[in-house]
Amino acid sequence: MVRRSSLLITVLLIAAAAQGQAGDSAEVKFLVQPFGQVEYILNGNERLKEVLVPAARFPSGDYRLYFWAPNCSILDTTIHVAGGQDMELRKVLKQTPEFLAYKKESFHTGLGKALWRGLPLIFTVGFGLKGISDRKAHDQAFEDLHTLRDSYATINSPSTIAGLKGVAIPDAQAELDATRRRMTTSFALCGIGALATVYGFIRAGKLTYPQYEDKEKVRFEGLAWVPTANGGMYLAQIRVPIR
Amino acid sequence: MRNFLSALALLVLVAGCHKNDVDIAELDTNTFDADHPGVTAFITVDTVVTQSYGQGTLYKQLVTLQVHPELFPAASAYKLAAIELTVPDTTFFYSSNTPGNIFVLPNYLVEPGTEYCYRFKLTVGDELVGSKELCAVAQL
Repeated sequence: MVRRSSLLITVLLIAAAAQGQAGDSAEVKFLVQPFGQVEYILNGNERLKEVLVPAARFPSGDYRLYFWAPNCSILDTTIHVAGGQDMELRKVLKQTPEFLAYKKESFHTGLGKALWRGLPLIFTVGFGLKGISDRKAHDQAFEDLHTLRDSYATINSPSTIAGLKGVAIPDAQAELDATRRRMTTSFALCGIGALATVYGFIRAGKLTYPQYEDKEKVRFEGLAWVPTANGGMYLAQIRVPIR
Repeated sequence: MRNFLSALALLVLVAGCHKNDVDIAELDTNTFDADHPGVTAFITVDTVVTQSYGQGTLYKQLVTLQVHPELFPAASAYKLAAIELTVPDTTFFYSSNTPGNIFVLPNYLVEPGTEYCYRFKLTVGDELVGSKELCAVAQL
């Protein structure tokens, strides 16, 4: 297929060169964006790819061209070729409003899925990590308090005992209570986050991406024949709903 | 959702209102603790005797004390001071390196039939951990 296309291009170029020698022709170079995806039809004949046939030589006259690229509107234009005046055809194909709406809706759907999944997950992981950190602080406070309590039995100083019972142990107990509250709150919020994450994933799973059909492609394919090994064929499309 | 938040608030409340891990009221086993129940006898008086000396014309009162460091929360050095209250400003100091933790306080120039009072102070470091007062009549 590639070899046949190359042969076709060669034939076209040789033919164009032969016409150019006559001095009544000009070369037209196609520079239509989006580059690499554009196909075109010349005077209702064969579909050509711009990357394979980026230029052609035409005799003087008017030529009708259809340019198309995936998701873009067909550009129907007529060019006037004057003999001996080579030219460049620069165009930018615009994306169809349907495709732009589809892209927008797809973006919103994707964003919605990401938010439904990501936010609760971040919330859960965040409070989970905070809970682990709070747990460490709690364990340290617990150990500090019990170290103080254990030291009570062997203290040989009445004033130290009074300080231990009046200040050090109450302070350590207050610190332990505070770390325990923080830890409990963190793990409770982590639990809420886990439930929210499950709900978020279920909710995200119910969001569906919009369907898109490139109607311009169908229309473009109906405008010209496609070369095959046995010549050419016209493409048409029909949809029959099965119920 | 409302029920869940209520449960969360209750959980935090319960976590905040639990019983203390260390009950200070139960910490009273240290014998140096002011809250320790009863009186710990760190100092006990073994004997009080009066003896003559100086060819039998003078008399002295001997008070034998025993310190009980085994009742301390942990082994540590202590210092014992004895103050003779009848003749003010008479203070005797003893260290803790007496064998058997037994101390003999000799109070010279006592008069038979007269009561003499003493105050004993036991210190660990710079802190008073026990004291005892004693009055005894000098009699042969």
